[in-house]
Amino acid sequence: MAAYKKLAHLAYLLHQKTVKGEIDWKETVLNGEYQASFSNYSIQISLVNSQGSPEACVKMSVIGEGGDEIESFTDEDIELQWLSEFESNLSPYVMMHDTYGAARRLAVGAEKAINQILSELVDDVNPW
Amino acid sequence: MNLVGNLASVIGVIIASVGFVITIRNVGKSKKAADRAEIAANKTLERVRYVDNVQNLSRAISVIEEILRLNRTGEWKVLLDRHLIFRSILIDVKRSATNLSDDHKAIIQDGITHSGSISHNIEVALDEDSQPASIPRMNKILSKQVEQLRDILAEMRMETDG
Repeated sequence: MAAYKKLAHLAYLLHQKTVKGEIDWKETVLNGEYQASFSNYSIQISLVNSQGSPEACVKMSVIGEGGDEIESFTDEDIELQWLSEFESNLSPYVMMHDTYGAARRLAVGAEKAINQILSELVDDVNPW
Repeated sequence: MNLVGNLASVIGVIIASVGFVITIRNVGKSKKAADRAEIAANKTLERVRYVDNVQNLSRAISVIEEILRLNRTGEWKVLLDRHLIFRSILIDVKRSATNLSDDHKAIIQDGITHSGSISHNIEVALDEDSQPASIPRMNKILSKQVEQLRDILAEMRMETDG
C-alpha cells in the first residue's frame, strides 16, 4: 500500500508538470505509447485494457537505468490512495487520462502547433 | 674556557634552530609539490576519461547507424546483439561522465529506454514468429536519437579541444 502511495504522488506530479508543458514526452516504437526520460530513469505512458471496466485505463511504467521496466501501475491501482492523499479535484482516472492526452499532444508536437496557430490568430485579430 | 663553552652552546642552538626552520620549509615545499603532482595526475586522469567517453559516444553513434541499416534488412537476431552493445556503451558513458548535465543524461537515458523497448519488441516478435513494430517508426525514433547524441558529442569535443 505504501508503494501505491508513492506511485500516486508520482502520477500527481507528472500530471502537474505535463499539463504545464514542462516534461519532454516523446513517441516510442509502439503506437500510442509515449516516454519521458530523466537523468537515470524513464517513464512510459500507454492505454491498456481495464480489468473491471470496458474503458481503457492508463498505465505508467518506470524504466530503469538499463532500459528494463522496473515498476508499473494504472489509475485503478492508485484509486484507493487518492482522496486521502491529494487535494485534487480530479479522480486518478480523469487525471491519468488527462496526463496521457497532454503527453500525446506534446510528443507529436500538436501542443506546439496549436500554440503557434493560436498566437498567429490572436495577432491577426489584434494587429496592434 | 667556560665562556667559550657557553658561546659554542648558543651557536649550536642557533644553528639547530635555523636548520629546523629550513627543514620545516622544505617539508612544506615538498607537500605543495606533492599536492600539485596529485592535482596534475587527477586532471590527466579526468582528461583521459573524458576522451574515452567521447570515443565511446562516437562508437554508440556508429552502432546505432548500423542498427538503422540492419532494421531495413530485417536481421533481427543480429540486431538484438547490437542493441545490447548500444545500451552497454550508453550506460558506461552515463556512469563515467560525471560532468554531463541532467539534460544530456536524460537524452542518453532516452536512448537506453528506446533501445530496451525495441529489443523487447523484437524478442516478442521472434518468439511469436511475427513481425516486429513498424521499421520506419523504429528508424524515425533512432534517427532522432542519433541527432541528439551527435549534439552531445559535438559539445564534448568542444570541451576536449578547449
